[in-house]
Amino acid sequence: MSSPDHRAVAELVTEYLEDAMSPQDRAVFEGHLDGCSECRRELETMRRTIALLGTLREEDVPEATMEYLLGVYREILRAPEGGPA
Amino acid sequence: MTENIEAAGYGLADDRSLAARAKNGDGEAFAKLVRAHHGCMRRVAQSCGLGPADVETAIRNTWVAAVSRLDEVTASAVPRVWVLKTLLTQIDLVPTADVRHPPSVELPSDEGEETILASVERAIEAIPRREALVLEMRDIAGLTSAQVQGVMGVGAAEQRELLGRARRRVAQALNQP
Repeated sequence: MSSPDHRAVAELVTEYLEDAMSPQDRAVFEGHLDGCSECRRELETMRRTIALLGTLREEDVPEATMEYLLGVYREILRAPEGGPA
Repeated sequence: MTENIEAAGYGLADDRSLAARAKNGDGEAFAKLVRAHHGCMRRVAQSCGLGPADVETAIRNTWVAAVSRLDEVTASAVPRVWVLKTLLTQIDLVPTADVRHPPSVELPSDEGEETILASVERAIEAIPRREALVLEMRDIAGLTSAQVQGVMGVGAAEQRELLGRARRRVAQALNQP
């Protein structure tokens, strides 16, 4: 960012992407983007990063952990109210 | 490729339904709840600097707490927020040094999908804890901004600031020559 205005816009990118701007602020921001390729690049970089983060895969629960938790679950639900687990 | 739980069609209604069924003795519903949140919980715990064994301990203890307090979980407006808040409490209880050891982020020479995703994981591990937590919950687990604020106990502006810094750090790490 080469000017205070650009730095301010960079800080507003998250607000824009999080849809946290008022309609008026959003219009001002988009107006700036129209004339500023550097800020458009920053916005595009953030969008690509978010898309990439969203593709991180879930993984399986380790078998030992699942067995342990199901054992605890059955034990606790079987225990009488106020009694030992 | 399995995408995050929101993208896979898993949502708040599933959380509530599974928690209610688990409370009524449905073990398979409980197992589904555990599976749905494992990846997010693992990464959140890892973001706090825990090693693999401590990560598993924190996750197990969280679910033990959840099973012991299923009334609370089902009464919670957003069960996943309850689970993640409890996880953060459990992480603080794990007797380990609360120090992050950021690995260096090595960019892939072969930009295959697996390699890129591994680089993203390493980039997340290298950023400060609170920023990583917000990023994990918002961009990977798919929690709403309000839910992330609830878990972290921060306001909207601070949450956005942490999120923005985290995204920029990951983007920079991935774009470094």
